[in-house]
Amino acid sequence: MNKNISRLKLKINKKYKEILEAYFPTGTKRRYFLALLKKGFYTIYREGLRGFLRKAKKKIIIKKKVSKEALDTVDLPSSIELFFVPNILPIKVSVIILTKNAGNEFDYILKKITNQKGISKIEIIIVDSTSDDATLEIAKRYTEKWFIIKSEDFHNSRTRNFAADKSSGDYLIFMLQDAIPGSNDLFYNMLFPMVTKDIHALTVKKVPRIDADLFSSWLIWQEYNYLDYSRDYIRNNKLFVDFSSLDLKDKVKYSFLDDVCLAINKEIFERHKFNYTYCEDLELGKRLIINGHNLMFVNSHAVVYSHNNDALYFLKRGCVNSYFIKEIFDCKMGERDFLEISNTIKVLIRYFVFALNTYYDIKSFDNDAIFYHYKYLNNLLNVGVELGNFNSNPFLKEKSQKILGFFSKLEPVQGISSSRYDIGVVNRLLNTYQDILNDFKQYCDILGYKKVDEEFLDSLFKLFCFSIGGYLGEELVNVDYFRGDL
Amino acid sequence: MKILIGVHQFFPEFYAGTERYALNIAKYLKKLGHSVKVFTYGLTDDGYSQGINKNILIKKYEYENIPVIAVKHKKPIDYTFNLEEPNLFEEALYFMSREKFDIFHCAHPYRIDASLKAASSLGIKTVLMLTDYWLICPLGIMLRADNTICSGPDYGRKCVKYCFTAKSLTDMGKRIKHVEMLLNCVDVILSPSKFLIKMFSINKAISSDRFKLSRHGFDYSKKKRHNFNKKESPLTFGFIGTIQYHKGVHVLVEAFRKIKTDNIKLKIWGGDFGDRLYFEKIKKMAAKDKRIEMLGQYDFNDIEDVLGDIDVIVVPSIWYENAPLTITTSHAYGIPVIASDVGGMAEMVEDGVNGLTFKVGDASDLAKKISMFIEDSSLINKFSQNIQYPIRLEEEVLNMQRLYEDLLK
Repeated sequence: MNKNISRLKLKINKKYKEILEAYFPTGTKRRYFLALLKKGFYTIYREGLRGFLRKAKKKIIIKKKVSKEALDTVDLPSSIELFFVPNILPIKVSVIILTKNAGNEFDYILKKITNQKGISKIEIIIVDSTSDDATLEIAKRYTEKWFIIKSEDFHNSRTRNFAADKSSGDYLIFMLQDAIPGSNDLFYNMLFPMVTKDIHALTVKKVPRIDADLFSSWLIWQEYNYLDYSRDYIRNNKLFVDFSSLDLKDKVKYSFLDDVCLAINKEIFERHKFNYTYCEDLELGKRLIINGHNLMFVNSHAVVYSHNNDALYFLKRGCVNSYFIKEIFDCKMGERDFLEISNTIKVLIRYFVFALNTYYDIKSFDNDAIFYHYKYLNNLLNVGVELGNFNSNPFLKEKSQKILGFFSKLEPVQGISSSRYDIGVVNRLLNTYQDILNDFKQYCDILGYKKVDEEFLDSLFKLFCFSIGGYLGEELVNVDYFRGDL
Repeated sequence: MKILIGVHQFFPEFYAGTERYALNIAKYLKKLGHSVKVFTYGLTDDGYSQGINKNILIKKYEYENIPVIAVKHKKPIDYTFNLEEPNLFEEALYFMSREKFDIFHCAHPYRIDASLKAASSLGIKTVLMLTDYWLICPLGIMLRADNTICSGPDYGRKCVKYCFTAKSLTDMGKRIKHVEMLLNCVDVILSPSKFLIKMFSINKAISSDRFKLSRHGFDYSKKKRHNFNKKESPLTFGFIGTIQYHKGVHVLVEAFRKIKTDNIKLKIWGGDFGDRLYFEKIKKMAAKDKRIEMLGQYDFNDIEDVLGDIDVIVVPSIWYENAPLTITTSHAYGIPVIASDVGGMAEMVEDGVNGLTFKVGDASDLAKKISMFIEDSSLINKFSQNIQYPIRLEEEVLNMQRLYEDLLK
């Protein structure tokens, strides 16, 4: 019985297939639609009418999209790239980076360097001062030329010279570990003038990071504003007769090199090398220009670099920079000892914080309101008003205490020993501060910055500390107190 | 330089991707020392005063230290079809002629398209960024009223047939003419994706050689971690974005429910963005599967916490997208993406190289792609290593600065 049923089934199946092939041959549209119909009924049976409609709608969606073939017919000209490099420079470039806990963007930076367009070969050389994060692990993914040194062996010049000795490029690019190329054609645009225009060393403009605070952004702006570097600028020794007779600003302007991102011809570097503890880039620039080399500042391209450091850092940085700039350019060095004037500086910081209270009720400023605190401070100090105890903005109190704490650590007698101050020191420092404040106002005007907020007060405090640093660098016989951590 | 950024709506009244793009560009250009203002269309009724034109109201305010001028019509008009609107043109012309801008960078022409004509007539160099398809699709995203994907307007015929049944072909023709006039006022047209350029090109709206490609930059200042320590289990897939139909969350949930493995998770982050009905529907679908978590709205400042738990991001949008921030963000953190195989998504995710793509709207195909990660979790690392970092915001704006300088030469 079962056998007969099976035979019958086979017969029916065979007949069905014959009819199917006769009326709906394989590979025809008819067969396709039949299959679709079958699938439709099956879906209705399994998932109901709603399920069927949902699936059918999806089929329609897929059919209606613009076809890949149609899109492929559109030719995209190379001119759609915003900027593209017209050719490849047949040179080898060695990028030198000294590292110490390079941070979470280091991988991004190395990838950005590796992906630079228009250079035939790029090698990366890393000298790491024994990082305790993933710096070395990341570095190894990008280069075989990595070296480890002890932290205490690090030296701004010697370590860079060591890395340069390990390089095999025709040109060297010195970069800081957190300087980010601002575009994929940065190196091309840096090296093109070196290859074609007989430029021997150049520095590219820094721009602040998106999260740079008001003070850090100003600091970069004022550097180029002071040097009048608003465009690409080439200089050589034809610009002056006697370098030593130039004023300090021109000396700095002509010598300016910045190893945040500095390119130099390898052969020329080997003849000169870095040779200084701080401001080694500027000192190299001085020797290069005096020796007849052509230097360039590139304003049209940029490297992203800034740090939101605290006021104490900027005090130290201002001090060390102004001290070494004087030494490099043979200016008259200061003669005072720090302990002679430390009490005046501490008292002055207290007065400054007091004077910032003039902004308590002001939420925004206009015109000269930026100078309110300065005028008030000037009056207080020149009249000699005793401050006594006062309530400071807690935000400023915390910041000033950190600076005062640092100063106190440097002295045998801690704390403010008296409220007396040297009016000569005060007046010179206030003059320095006024100049810087004028510059800051100019920057705020350009930005349209008018708000008295924490960022504004923080910037004023940093400006003041930066002025103190600059003043100390000029006055002191040595700045060993301030060199740590820089 | 004096730069004016135009955008169809702005903070604090409304903000999504385009508004954030305009704000970021404005803020960073300021940081670079340029004078920047924003020109926008107001959406609320507070604080407006009479403009120069009797039919226009204006409001001046500051947002994050950026001066903003918002304009609006006294009586609302149909912005989609009233292009080159004369009252707004007059107001924009007056404002721009007083301020003497060097550059007008329009981040979206909707509502404020007349300002492009005003800038051009004053000789101000104009840059137009196209972030969607509004110039060829009055709805902007080439998704029809019935939520089906559209291949193009076909000179307005499809718009009249599927989306604007009350409009005539003559209305569409007028709009197309206005768009042509508008584009004549623009010096440079920017696109964040090659797909958008091709789409405008095959629809004969803008020739590809008029475009410049300008990828959106990512704000890396929020990125505090290099990468995340991936957990051994469970393998976690994630959706981040708004829970709206065209984002295709239903496709993802459906695909996920087809997979029977226990040791996986799906985390869905995002708010309803006004589409409550759809949100509730997704919630209901998700409730049937314990492996799916609906986690609601997130703050972009907490993105590291959100992404920290996710191994693979899924972008199941059923429209073309253009340059979705979700993919940019995932790539900035080295997280591989499974995305629909259309539009800007397929351009950013290369199938089998830095992620996977699936047939748009096809839950079965998406389920297959999800299963590939389940069967071979080493794919995560493999794809992650092939991901190229998106450009940073600073670079994008530096490119803009170079472009402006070139235009002014």
